[in-house]
Amino acid sequence: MTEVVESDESAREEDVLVEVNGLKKYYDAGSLTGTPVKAVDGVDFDIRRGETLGLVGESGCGKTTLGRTLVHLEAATEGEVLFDGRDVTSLSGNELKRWRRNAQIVFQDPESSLNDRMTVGEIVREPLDVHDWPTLTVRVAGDPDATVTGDAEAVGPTATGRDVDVTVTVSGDDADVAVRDSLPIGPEDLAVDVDSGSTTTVDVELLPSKAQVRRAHVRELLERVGMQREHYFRYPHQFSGGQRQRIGIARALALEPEFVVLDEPVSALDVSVQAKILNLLEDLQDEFGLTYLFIAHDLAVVRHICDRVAVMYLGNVMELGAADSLFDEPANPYTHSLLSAIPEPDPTIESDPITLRGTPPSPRDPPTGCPFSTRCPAKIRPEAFDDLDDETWAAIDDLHRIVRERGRAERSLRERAREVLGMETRFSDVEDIVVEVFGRLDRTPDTTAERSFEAMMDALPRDVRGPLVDVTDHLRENREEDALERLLDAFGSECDATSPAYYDVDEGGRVSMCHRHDPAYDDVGPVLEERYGDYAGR
Amino acid sequence: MSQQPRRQRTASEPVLSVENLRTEFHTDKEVIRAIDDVSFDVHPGETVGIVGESGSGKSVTARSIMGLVDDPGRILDGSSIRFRGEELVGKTEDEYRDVRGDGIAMVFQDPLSSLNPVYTVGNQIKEALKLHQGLTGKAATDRAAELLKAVSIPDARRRLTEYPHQFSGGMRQRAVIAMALACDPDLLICDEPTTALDVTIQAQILELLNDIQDAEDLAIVFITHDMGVIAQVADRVNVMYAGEFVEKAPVEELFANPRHPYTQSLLESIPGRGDADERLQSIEGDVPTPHGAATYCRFAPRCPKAFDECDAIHPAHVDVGEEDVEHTAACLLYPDDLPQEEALAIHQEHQTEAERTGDGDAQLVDENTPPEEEQ
Repeated sequence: MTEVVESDESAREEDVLVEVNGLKKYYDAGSLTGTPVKAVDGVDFDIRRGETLGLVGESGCGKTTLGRTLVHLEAATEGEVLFDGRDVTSLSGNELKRWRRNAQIVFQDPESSLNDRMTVGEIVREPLDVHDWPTLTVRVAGDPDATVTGDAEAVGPTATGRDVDVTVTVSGDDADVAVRDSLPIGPEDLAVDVDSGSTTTVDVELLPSKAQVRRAHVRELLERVGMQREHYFRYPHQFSGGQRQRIGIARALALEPEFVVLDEPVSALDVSVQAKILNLLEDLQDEFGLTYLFIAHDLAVVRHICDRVAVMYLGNVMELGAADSLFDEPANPYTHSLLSAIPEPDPTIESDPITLRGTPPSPRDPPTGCPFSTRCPAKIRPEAFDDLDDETWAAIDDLHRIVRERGRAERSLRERAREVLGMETRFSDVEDIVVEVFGRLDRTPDTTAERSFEAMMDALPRDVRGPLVDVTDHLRENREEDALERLLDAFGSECDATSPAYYDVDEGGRVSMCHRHDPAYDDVGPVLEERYGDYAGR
Repeated sequence: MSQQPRRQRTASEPVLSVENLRTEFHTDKEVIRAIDDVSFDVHPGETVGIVGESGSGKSVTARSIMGLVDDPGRILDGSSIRFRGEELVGKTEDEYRDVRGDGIAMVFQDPLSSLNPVYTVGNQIKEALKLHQGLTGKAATDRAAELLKAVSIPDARRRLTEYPHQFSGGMRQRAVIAMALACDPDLLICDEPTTALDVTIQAQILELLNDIQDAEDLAIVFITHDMGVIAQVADRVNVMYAGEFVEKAPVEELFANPRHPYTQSLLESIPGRGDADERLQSIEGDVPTPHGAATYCRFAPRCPKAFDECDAIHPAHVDVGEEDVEHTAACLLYPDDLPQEEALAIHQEHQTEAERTGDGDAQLVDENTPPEEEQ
C-alpha cells in the first residue's frame, strides 16, 4: 500500500505524505439558524514524509479542528486530504478502519484522554484489539500467485516495509521464514507448512495466542516510551502528568502508524517534564520514521521541534515555511505580532511588543477581506488619509471593533421591543462611546467639561468628521450593519475588500497571505517599523 | 508591556512582610508541609515574582497570605505575615474579610471560575463596591463603568449588563482585575493570571498590570511557572521548590547568574534558549511531596551536583551574589569561596539553630517517601 523511502535525504525532501487541498470544516453548516462556524476555512499545505510540521495559532483559530480532520475524527465539509495520493476524506467503513492504522493522534490533556478504569496495559492494547492485530501479512518470495491460509493473509506485490510481516522463501517443500524486526515474535513462533502443488499453498499458523503477542508488544512499547514493563497492570491515576502523556504516546504508536497528529502534547506539562517528552518524541521519530503534525501555541516549543511551521488565524493559514526562516524573518503581520508577544526568558531585553488590540473575531462571522484585517498592525490605509496620524487611526480602529461587537451582541426580545419603541436600552449611549474612543487623542480637548460630542467632532479633520457623524447617526438608530458599512466605505481599504492571495516570500518556498506583499504597497517590515519603531520579535 | 527601568528598592516600609511562613495540611494518611519556612518582603510599586513547577507550593503561598487556607490546612505557629505592619496570622475570618476588602486583592488563574455565571459582570463588580466601599445605586454603576474603562474594556456601560459567557477569555480576566481594583488595594496577588490566555492576550494583560501598577504604586506578587513571563514582569524573583525558596535574586541577576542547581536546570530546560538542534536538558524525577521539616536538601535526589552531605544537612540561605546585590541560594555548594568543610559547617549551624528554636518535629521526618518516579 505504501512506499517507505529509505533515508535518502534528497528524495525525502520532495516526498509528500499528506497533501491537503482546499480543506474546509464548517459546523452547523446545514442548520436553519443561519451562518455556519467556519472553523477551518480553506487551507492547502503538504506534509513531507519524515518531517515535523508545526501548526501554531491562538485558541479558536481552528488548529485542533484541522488536526482532527486530518485523522478523520471530524468529517471534512469540503476539500480533500490526500494520504499517499489517496483521498481519505471520503473513506468509510472497513476502508476507513484499515486506513486509520496509518494515522494516529496524541491528545492534549493526559488527565482526560485516558480511561481511569482501564489498566495501562488495556489502554495501550485497545487499538490492537480493535484492529485484530497482528494481521500477519505474508509475502511468498518470488511467487505472487501463492495462496496463504491459516492465521495469515497474503499481501500484494507492491507492499513493503511494515506492511509485510512475514516473508516466506519456498524451496521445494521447505520454507525459509523471516519475520519483520519490530514484531514481538520470531520464526520459531510460526508453524509454516508448504504445499507446492499446481499452485503453491503456504499455511501459516501462529503458535502463541494473539493475546500473548499483543501483551508482549504492549510491554515493549511501554519500555520504548520510557515506562516499565511492570506498569502494564497499573491504573492511570497512579502516574504523573508526564507519564500519562507517555501512555498516550504508546497508545498512538501501537499500530505502527506513519503519521501522528500531536495535539498540544506538552501544553499541560511543567517545563522540565515537557523537555523530556519533546526529547522522547524526537527519538521516536528517528527510530520509526514518523511524520508529525505538531499542534501547539507555545512558539518556543514549535521552533525547537519543527522543520516547517504553519501559522493559523481564524481558520486560515497565514504563513507557512521553514521554521528557522519564519521565526528569524517573519513576513506576515500576524506572525510578526505573535512572535513579538512571546515573553523572552531574558530580563535584559528591553522589548516593546506590538500589542494587538481586541480579540480574534468570531469564526461564525469572519471579516470580509483578510481574516486578520480587524486587528492587523500593518493594515493598509486609504491614500486619501495619508496625513492622518497613527493615534487617530488607532481610535478609528477601536470604534470599528466596538461597532462590530455591538452588531454581534445578542439582543433579547425585550431589548428589541424597546429599540422599536425608541426607548433607552443598553445600546443607547452612542455619543459617550465616541467621546470615550476619541477623547484620548492629543488633538481633542482634555478637560471633562469640554469633552462634549460636538467639541470632539470639531477637533477632528473634516474628512474624518463627516463619516463619523453618519456612523453615530446609524448607531443611534440601532443600524449597526449600516454603521459598519459606512466605516468600511470611508476608512476601509484593500484589506477589508478582498481576501489576499499567497505570495512567495523567500527562496525556500515560504508563502504568506497578505496584501502588503503586493509590490503596489509598502512591505510589512518597513510599515511596522514606521508605525511601531523598534518593536520586539525582530 | 513597555519596560520601565527596574524599580529600585526604596527605603520605605514593606507593604507585605512574610517571615518563616509554614503551612501544613493534615490528612488521615499523612501531614504535608506545603510551605516550609518561606520569607519575603514586598515594597510599594514593586513586583515580586514566585516561580516554580506545579506542586511546589506557589499557590498555597498566595492563599496563605489571603487567609484562604481552609481545614485541613493550617498555618503553623511561628509564622508571620505582616501587611502594612499588621499581623495577619491568627485573625478570624471576619477580621480577615476587612483586610481583603481594604488592601489585598487576588487575581486567580482561571477567570471563568472566578466569575459567577448567573450574575452580570456589572452586578459582580458592584457587589465588590458595595461590600468594600459602601457604594450603591448609580454611584456604584458609574464607578463600575470607570473600573472597566480602567482595564481597557471598550463600550464599558453595555458590557456591565452582560454575563461572563458573553466575554472573551482576555476580557474576563480584565473584568476580574477590575473587581480586584474595586477595593483600591495596596497589594495585588496574581496567581498565574495569564496561564489560561493566548500570548497576544497575555501581552495585553501584562501591559495592563504594568500600567495599573505605575498609576497606583501597587505592590504585586506575581506567581507563574513561565520563566519568560517572570523575566518580563518581576523586579525580584523567588524560585520555589517543594515548599521552600531555593534562590532569591533581582531578576537580571537571577537570569544572568543563576546559582542554585535547580534554577540552572529550570533555565536550561526552556526550549529556544540554546541551539534548536540540541537536545533539551531535563530534570530527572518529580517534585517530591514534603512531609515535615527537612534535615536534608529536598532537591538532592534530582540534583546533578548532589554529594553525600546533601542527604544529611539542610541547606540554609547564604549570600551568593556580589556585595551590593541581594542574591541568596539555599545550597550546600555555597558559599563557594570557603573550603567545603567550612561551608558545610555554616549550614549545619543554621540547622541546629532551627531545631533548637522550636521546630521540634525535625526528627519525625524520615518518612519522606518519594512518589512514583518519572523514569
